[in-house]
Parts: sequence; C-alpha cells; structure tokens
Amino acid sequence: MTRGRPIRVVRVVLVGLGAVLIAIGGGALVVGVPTRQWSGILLWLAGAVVLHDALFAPLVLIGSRVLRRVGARVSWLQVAVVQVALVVGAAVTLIAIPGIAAQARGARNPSVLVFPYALHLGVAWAAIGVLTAATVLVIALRRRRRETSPSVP
Amino acid sequence: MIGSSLSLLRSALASPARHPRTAVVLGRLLGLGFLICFGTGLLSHFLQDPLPGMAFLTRPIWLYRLTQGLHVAVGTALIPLLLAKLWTVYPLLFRWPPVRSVGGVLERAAIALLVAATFVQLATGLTDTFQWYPQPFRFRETHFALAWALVGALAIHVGVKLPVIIRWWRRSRSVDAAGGLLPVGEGEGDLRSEPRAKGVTGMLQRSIDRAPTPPAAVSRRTAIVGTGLASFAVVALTAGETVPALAPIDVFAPRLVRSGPQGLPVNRTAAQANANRTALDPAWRLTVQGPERSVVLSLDDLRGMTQTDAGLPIACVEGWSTQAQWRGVAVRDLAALVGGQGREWLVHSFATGAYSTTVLQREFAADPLTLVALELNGSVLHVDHGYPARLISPARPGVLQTKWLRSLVVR
Repeated sequence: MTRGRPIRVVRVVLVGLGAVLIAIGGGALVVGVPTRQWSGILLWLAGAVVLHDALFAPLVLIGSRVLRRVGARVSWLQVAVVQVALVVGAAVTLIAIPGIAAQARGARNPSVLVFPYALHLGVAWAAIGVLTAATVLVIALRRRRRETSPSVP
Repeated sequence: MIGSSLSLLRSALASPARHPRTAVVLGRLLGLGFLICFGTGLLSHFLQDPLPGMAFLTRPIWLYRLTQGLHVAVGTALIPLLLAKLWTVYPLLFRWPPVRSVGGVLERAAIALLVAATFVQLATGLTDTFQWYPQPFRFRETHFALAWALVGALAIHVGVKLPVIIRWWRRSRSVDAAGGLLPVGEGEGDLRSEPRAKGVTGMLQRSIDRAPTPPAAVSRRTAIVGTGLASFAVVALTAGETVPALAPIDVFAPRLVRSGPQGLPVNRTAAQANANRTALDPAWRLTVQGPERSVVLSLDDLRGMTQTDAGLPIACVEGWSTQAQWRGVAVRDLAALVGGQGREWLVHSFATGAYSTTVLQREFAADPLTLVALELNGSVLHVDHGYPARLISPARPGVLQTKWLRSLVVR
C-alpha cells in the first residue's frame, strides 16, 4: 500500500479539523444563546434522533416487509413503483406540514402562507396515486402481452 | 441474548440496497449540500454581523438572491436525502457490542451529533421559512452554532470512514454486470451480510431470510430513484418563490413571488413594526447626520433631489426573492451633502424590535445603486414596503433593507 500514509494523514487532519469546528460551534452557542435555552436545544437534538430511530424507521421497516410479501406475488417492478411513489409522497408531506401547522396558527401577514397547504397536499397525494396506479397497470398489461404472445424460436 | 436478538433485527433489516456504496452515493451528495448550506449561511450571517475589517461584494446585484435561494433550496432537498442516508445505515444502530474501543465511542458520538444537529437544522430551518417558530430557543444564533458543530462532526465522520468511502467511490468497482452491488468484503465497510447463526436464533434467522427479497438491481435503483425524485419534487414545488420560471408549480412554498402590495411580498408590515403612525405623519423628516454637517429633509426635499433608478431584488433570509424597480435618492448623493463620502452609516428606522438600527457598510454606501427609495415599481412606496422612504441596496439580505427610515448617522 503506497497510498496508505497520505490517507492516514488526511484522516488525522479531518478528525482534528472536525474537533476545531465543533469547538467553534460550542463557542458560538455560549456567546449567542442564553444558558436557559440550552436544555431546550438538547431536548430537540435528542428528541429528533429518538423520533427517527424509534418511530419513523421502524414504521418504514414494517411497511417495506409488507410490500415485499406483496411483491413476491405481483412483480418487483410494480412494488418498486409503489415504493418510489410512497417516498415522494412522504417527502412532500414533510415539507407541507410546517405550512399546515403555521396556517392553523394564523399567518403574520397576508403575503406569507399564501396557499391552502392541506388542500395542496391532498391534491399531490391524489396525483401521485393516479400516476402510480397508471404505471402499475401499464407494467401489468405489458407483462400479460409478453406472456400470451407466442415466443419466437 | 441481546446479541442474538439484535442479530435477528439486523437480518430483518437486510436489503440489497443497504450497502456502503449506497451510503457513499447519498453521503457525498449530503456532504456537498451541507457545505453549500454552510458557506451560504456564513455569508448571510456575516452580512448581518460582520467581523471587524470584513468587506463584501456588492456585485452582481443578485448575489445574495442566489446564495440565500440556494441555502433554502438545497436545505429542502437535503430532507429526503438525509432520511435515505439514515435508512441505508439504520441496521448499524443495532451493532453488538455497540462499541469496541475508545475510538469507536468517539466515532459514534460524532455520528450522534451529526445526525441530531442535521435533523434540528433542517427542521427549524424549514419551519423558519414559514414564520413558524415552535422551538424553545433562538433560531438564528442556534442555527449558526449548530452549523459549525454539524460540519465539524461531518469532517470527523468522513475522516473515520475515508477508506470505505474510497473503496466504494467508483461505480465500476461497486456494481456487477447485472446491476447488483458487490458483496462487502472484510475491511470494506459495515453493512456486511449477517453470519449464519446456530440453534434457535439460526432457525428464526432462516425464516426471516425465506421472506422474498427483491432482485439486487431493482432494490438499488428503487432506493436511488426514489430519493432523487423526492428531492427533486420538494425543490421543484417550493423554489418558485425565488426562481420565476418555477412559479407556476410553486404550491408548497410560504411565498408567491408576485403576491403582496405592489407585486412584492412583505416580511413585516407597518402594523407589525408599530411604524404606521410615524410613517404616515405629514411631519415626517429624514435626518442625515454627517461628519461636517447635518441636514433634515422632508419628503418633498427628497423628491426635489436627483432621482436614481435601480432594478434590484429583495432577497429575504427566509429564501424568497423578487426583482423590483426602485426610484429614489442615491445614498452617496446624501453622503456628499454632509461630507460623508466613503464612510459607514448607522441606519435608524421608526420600526421597533430587531433590525430597527442597522449598519450600512462603506462598500454598500458607496455603491451608486444603493438608494433611499421613494418609489417601487412605478408608484409611491406602499406603507408596508417602508413609506415614506426605505433603504435598498444590491446583494444584501432583506432584513438590512431598512424600511420607514428615520435617520442616517455617520459612524
């Protein structure tokens, strides 16, 4: 390994640099944020990880195991299309939530929160559903045609 | 007992797409995104709070519009990317024993900080653009501090994982002819297949493994295409608040480019800023206090001076921006009136609260396009846009484009 040494140097530099940057972040926190708010920050940092690791990720696991069972009976391509649709739908839902929540509390002025976010989210899911159903159907039809057409020797 | 339960859990989580190569593909995009957000964020921060001796570019006029638009759009795109990256490496959470050395403890601590800080940055960043502040701490100062911690933890993470990153960087060394990912060998990273267990654990493991598994190539492409489309969708459906070409499909952004008085969104109205009474008072005057003399100017005095036209965007820290046509008196003409050319100014507003006094650095004060604006898009300023007079300058955040001007005082 001729390049082992330079890589080790790069790794040491990166870890050292990281420690310095984290220290700067700590300094910025001390200077900029009152100490009584630190517990709130800690709570949010820990809460975000728990929410993901103990709730979101297990739900995704259960969902994907269910889809796999279905996938064995239909086609994997169709399952893949449904999975992609669910991922896109989930992402759009995540970015729509702040709009819906903020709107429920009332906009600060008429030029902010300009859309009916809940309605738009519903429309987005409907559009994703229609597109997904159409794609799944097309895949099924093509498969059936291939299966019924006589194979060319 | 714990070890074998966790081993079963990892078996259940196994997927052909949960692979170091996927982690590298998503990770390098995330890393690039973090650096873009960090760089643009620092620019925005220092424009508002410059360190002594700092000077800024005033051209191109759309510089801040670009950097802050990128900051918010890239940050939005990172939400699906982050979740996909965590999905890829999720089985590693259940490694047993959790750590094997002091270095391992530090490594996992850096990852914990990285993941936690990223979640909080993306979540509070997004809610901030909607002017919703659910967090029990100051947004701006915390966002700034956590940004440093995040890139620091990222540097440590990259440093630790560098050999694995290098191993799986190239597609040609990662994917077989059929499109599936190559098996992970000894020393080529985590996420290796579970070793066969014996006894009851082995039986359970075999029953989990009997569940059908998608073909490796389909699994890999689903993960990448799903993440890519999700990131693309969240940006496409929100970036219209700053990219005019995307405005027709802007359906989830907090703003719409042309909504608001005179075709321009408003961040804080005159009523919100308690500026209504003073702004609409006929006795309103602008005081310009220079090193040689001071002048007190009425609205008619200002209208009687040489008027300058400037096409400049309003670009908000919240990520929206709109180009507009402004007309008023150039700040450098006012400076010349009181012998304050080339100087730095304190800008006072009648508004109350944050940013009611700001600093106009000398490079912006000297720029011929920096105006005390009296008109917007061809008519007198609406009171929510700062009537009777507001500051407008190129390449600066909207919060510094002070509305309801009271005085300019040389520093």
